Amino acid sequence: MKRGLQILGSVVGIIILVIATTLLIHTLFPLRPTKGIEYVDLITIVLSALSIMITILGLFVAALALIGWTTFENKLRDNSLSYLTSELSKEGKLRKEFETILTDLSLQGVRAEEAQQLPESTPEDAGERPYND
Amino acid sequence: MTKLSFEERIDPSEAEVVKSFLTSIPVQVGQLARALGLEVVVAPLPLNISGSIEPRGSSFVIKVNRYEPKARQRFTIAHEIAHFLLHRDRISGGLVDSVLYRSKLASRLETEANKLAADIIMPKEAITDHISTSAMHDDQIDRLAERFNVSRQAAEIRLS
Repeated sequence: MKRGLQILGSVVGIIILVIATTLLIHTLFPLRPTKGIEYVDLITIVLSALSIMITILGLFVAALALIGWTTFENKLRDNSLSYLTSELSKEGKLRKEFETILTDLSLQGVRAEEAQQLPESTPEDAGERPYND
Repeated sequence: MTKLSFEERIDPSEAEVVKSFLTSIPVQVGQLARALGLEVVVAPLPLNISGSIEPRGSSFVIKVNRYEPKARQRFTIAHEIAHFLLHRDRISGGLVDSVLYRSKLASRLETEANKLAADIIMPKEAITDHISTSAMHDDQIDRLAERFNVSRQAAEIRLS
C-alpha cells in the first residue's frame, strides 16, 4: 500500500513537471498567429491528446493494480486462516501430523537413552508376556 | 458426546461382566479383559505407542507397552477394553493407540474410549465413597491415585 502511494506520487509529480515546463516554454516563446492550421500543429495536438489519454489510462491501471493487490492480500489471509483453523481443529489432519511429530520429537531423547541403558533383551524379553494384575 | 452411562451403551451381558469387576478396588483390568474373552500381553512396543488391540483367532489381543509404568499400562488396557466394547465393528483390522491415545479412529471415538476407560478403572461409586469420606487435598489425591492404582493426573481428571 505504501509503495503504491509512492508510485502514484511520482506519476503526479511527473505530470506537474510536464505542465510547468509547457507553460514556461509558451511564456518564453509565445505562439504567433498564423493564417491557418499546419501539419505540425495538427500532429502536436494529436500527440498531446494521445499523451494525456495514455497518462489517464496508466493512472487507471495503477489504481486497479492497487485494488487488486489489496484484495489478493486479504483473500490470501482469509483463506490461510480458514484452512489452518479447520486443519488444526480436533478432527484435522494437520493436527494429527503435528501431534505425531511432537510426540516423536519429545521421545527422541528417551529413545537414545533407552538404546544406551536398557539391558540387552533375552529371547524371552523380546517377545510378548502375559499381563498379570 | 453421549451422556449415557456405560451400562446403556454396551451389550447388557458384557455390562454385567464389567460391573462385577468394579466392586474390588483397584479394578483388576487384566482379569476383566480375560473375562470378556480378550488376551492381554505386555510387549516391547515403540516408545510413542501405548497399546494396541488386534484380532487374534476369534477374539482380540490387547498389547501394552512394557516400557510404561504399571498405572499407565492399566489405563491403556482399560482404554483398549473400551474400544472392544464400544467400537468392535470398527477395529476388525486392528488399532494402534499412541501415547496421546490417538489412532486412526476419530477423536470423538477416542474420547468415548477414554471416558469408558475412566469409568472402568475409577468407578463412579467408589470415587464418590472416597470423596465423601475425605476432603480433597493434594496428598489425598495422591492417596486416591494410589488406591485406584492410576496416575495422579488421571485421578485429577476424574475428580474435575
